[in-house]
Amino acid sequence: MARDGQPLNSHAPIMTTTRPIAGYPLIGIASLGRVAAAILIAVIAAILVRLLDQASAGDIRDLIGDSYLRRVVIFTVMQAVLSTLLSLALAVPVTRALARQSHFPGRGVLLRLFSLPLVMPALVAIFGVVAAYGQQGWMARLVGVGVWPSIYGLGGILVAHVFFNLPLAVRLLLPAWQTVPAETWRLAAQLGMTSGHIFRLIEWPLLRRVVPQIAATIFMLCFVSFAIVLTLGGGPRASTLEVTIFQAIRFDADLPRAGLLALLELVLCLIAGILCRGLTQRMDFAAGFGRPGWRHDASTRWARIGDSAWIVLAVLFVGLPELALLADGLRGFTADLPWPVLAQAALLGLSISVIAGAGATFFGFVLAAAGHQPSPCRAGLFVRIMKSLQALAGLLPLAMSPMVLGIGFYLLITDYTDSDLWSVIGIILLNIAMAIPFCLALLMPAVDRNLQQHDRLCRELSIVGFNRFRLIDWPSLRPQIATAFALATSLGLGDLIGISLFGNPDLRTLSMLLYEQLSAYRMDQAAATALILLLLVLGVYGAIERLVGGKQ
Amino acid sequence: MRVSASLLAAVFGILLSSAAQAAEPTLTVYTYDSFISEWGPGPAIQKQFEAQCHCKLTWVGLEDGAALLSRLKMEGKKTKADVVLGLDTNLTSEAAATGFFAPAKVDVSKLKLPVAWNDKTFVPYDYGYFAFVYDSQKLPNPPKSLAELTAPGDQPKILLMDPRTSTPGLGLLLWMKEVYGDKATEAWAKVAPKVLTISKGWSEAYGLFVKGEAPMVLSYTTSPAYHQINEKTDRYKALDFPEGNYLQVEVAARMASSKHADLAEQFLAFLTSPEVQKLIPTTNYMFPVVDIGNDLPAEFRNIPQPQKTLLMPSDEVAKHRHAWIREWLETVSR
Repeated sequence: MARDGQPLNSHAPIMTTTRPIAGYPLIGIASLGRVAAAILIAVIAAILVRLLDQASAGDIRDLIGDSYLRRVVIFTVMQAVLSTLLSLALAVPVTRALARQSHFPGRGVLLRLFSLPLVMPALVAIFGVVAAYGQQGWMARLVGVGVWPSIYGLGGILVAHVFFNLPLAVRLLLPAWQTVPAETWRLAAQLGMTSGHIFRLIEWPLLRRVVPQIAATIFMLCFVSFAIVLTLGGGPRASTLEVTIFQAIRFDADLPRAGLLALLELVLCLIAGILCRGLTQRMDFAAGFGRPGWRHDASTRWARIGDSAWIVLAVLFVGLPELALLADGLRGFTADLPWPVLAQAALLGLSISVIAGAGATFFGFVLAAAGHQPSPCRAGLFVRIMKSLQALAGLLPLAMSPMVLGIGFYLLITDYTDSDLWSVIGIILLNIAMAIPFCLALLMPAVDRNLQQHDRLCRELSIVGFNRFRLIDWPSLRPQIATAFALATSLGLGDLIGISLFGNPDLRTLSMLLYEQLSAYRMDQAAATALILLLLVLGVYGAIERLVGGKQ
Repeated sequence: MRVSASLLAAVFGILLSSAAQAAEPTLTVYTYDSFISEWGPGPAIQKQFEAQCHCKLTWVGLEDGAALLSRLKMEGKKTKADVVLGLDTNLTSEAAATGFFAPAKVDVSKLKLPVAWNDKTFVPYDYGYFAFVYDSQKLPNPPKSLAELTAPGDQPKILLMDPRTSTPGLGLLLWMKEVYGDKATEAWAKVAPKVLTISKGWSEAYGLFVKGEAPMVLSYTTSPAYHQINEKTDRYKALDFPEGNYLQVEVAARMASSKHADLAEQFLAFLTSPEVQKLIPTTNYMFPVVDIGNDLPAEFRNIPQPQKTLLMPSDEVAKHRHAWIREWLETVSR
């Protein structure tokens, strides 16, 4: 284990400021990460305990004996697996194309547009997908209504889930590609590697390192998907476990049943998470100066043609529904919009989501740092279990039913206080929790590379704590941190679960407003509100990447 | 600047609301989001009520009637609610069984409803009929009866809502049960091929309908009035069926645990006053429960009253809902 480098001077401050566990000196950030993991696990456990308080053996028997539920579980897993595979199968070549062709006009805009689907409230995404690919959508009118296949069914679910997750996967994969240093590409060029060689020797190990984590993220997102599955799935034939949880909470206030179903969801998602972790291969990053790389295999004719094809395909697929939303939204602008209300909602959403975004980025960063610590070979079972728990902790908020996460949060908070201030704090905390998995997935490859490269140096020079962050981590991780911050903030802007939980009419965000407009028949105004929300996301995304990331 | 000032005011208002509580009593009303939205009757009701009650009215907005009852059950005795507004006739029996609600003094016998109302606890404030709404440009010859709708064939396509997640969805389930009784399953099996999709809530389905995905959607007889009043179009029409249309009566009730019983009573009485009832048609798009004369817009007066009013006793709904939903699931997911 010499690779992990014991500090040379063992009496350095690092030994006195941090507690060694399992014989390994720890950096401060990683121990913060452990605390963060513990907090996440504790909160999820507290929610489940709160809900399962009155669960009886009878409740469990009911679930086990329920044949409909078994079918639902099978369908839920099936559609989530298919959605994940399809999203990734498309995302890998698209990302590769985007990584190879790193300079073409409109690339930046394209990546921004790719950040939109994830933050769309489900209803907006449904309307966008239907306007592009529905019975009477653009494609149907182009090919001929009647010839165009019906979107309602498993196909519709997959189309919508790929619409959400293909761009997400690209956004998460691209930073990983960027962790390959310029020196590696130069070496590849000197050795005259073909694209095939590069894929086998550089890209495949890279994918083995990052794809499983992203796969777990997408799987969980699709697993708890609900409104999309019902509406585009064509009806109750396509039901997910989340529908059953919704029913238990909404119509029956049956907390034990909801808790048990959420536990089932959690277990299934964690199994998927563990399987994905098993597929993950650690990768040793080559050292480099962190300059942007140039690939010699990018400019051949076939590479250009192939890459362009993938990029155009992805842009069309993701862009059509977005374009449809733009068209609908512009039509809505003619109606007299309630500007003061919209502006207030935008500002409120912005303040909540920027705070939540910063929080989630911080947690994602420390969790990524904690996750890096290599497992000691002779670690005991306990240490290994703790390690896996810690690694999965960052995914917990995704593996948990959003409905149960929300109501659990609400109950835990209102058990102790009913102050309005706490409802604001609760909304922020919930938004932080829900954005952590994305920040983690985004930061992990870069943090890993960074720690591998600088850890020994930092230990030797005793650069620890905030100094280390300021001098070492921040300069090299800045772009990735900015992207995580931007993504987490946009997620908060689209949030509906947190904001609607406390029912406080003074806390009205754009997504909330949009739902209110829809239930008041104002479909046109709602489309305009959706457009404003998306433009706001674009603006915030760009501003954060520029201000925090220091780009351009 | 005005906007940021009002935002600051809102945030500080939240933080300081506890300080204001000392001066004036606060009446907390749980209701559904759309009632208190910019477009709903809530803001006007709040203004008018606060002007006469020497109190502060605080809304808590949840998704729908079912969410309200569920939230109350979870909060139990600790709830902040003084009044609950937005339960409907399918939920009152279950709501009464919780024992959370106290009888109101409002004289409900004077209200103008399509059915006799004897419940002393739940005070109706509006009502409407579920109906199939169609796009007359796309569907010149809509089905004229439920029998035609349940005839064999797969046209015209309709958009429905899931009874597990939506109030109108549950409404249709009960509607079919009222008309077809034990044969409801067979009727559903014949409707199934016509269904384009069954969405989570009304908003999804109605949005798809307006987008033209299907020419018919489950909604209310009052829906066309919205398009007539706000969009000046007669394009969308509602169907009343000879078998009858299912009724939804929305009710409010005061909580037995409320510390402001008098205020709560005053609010319930206010809710059934002409001032509030005048607001209902064009903000909540439902019928008022008192005669408001010429204040009822012409578009509402032109809505034909269904030939028959269907409404299942609330106890029946509470007793059989689970079994019926299960039966429905088995039929439509086949």
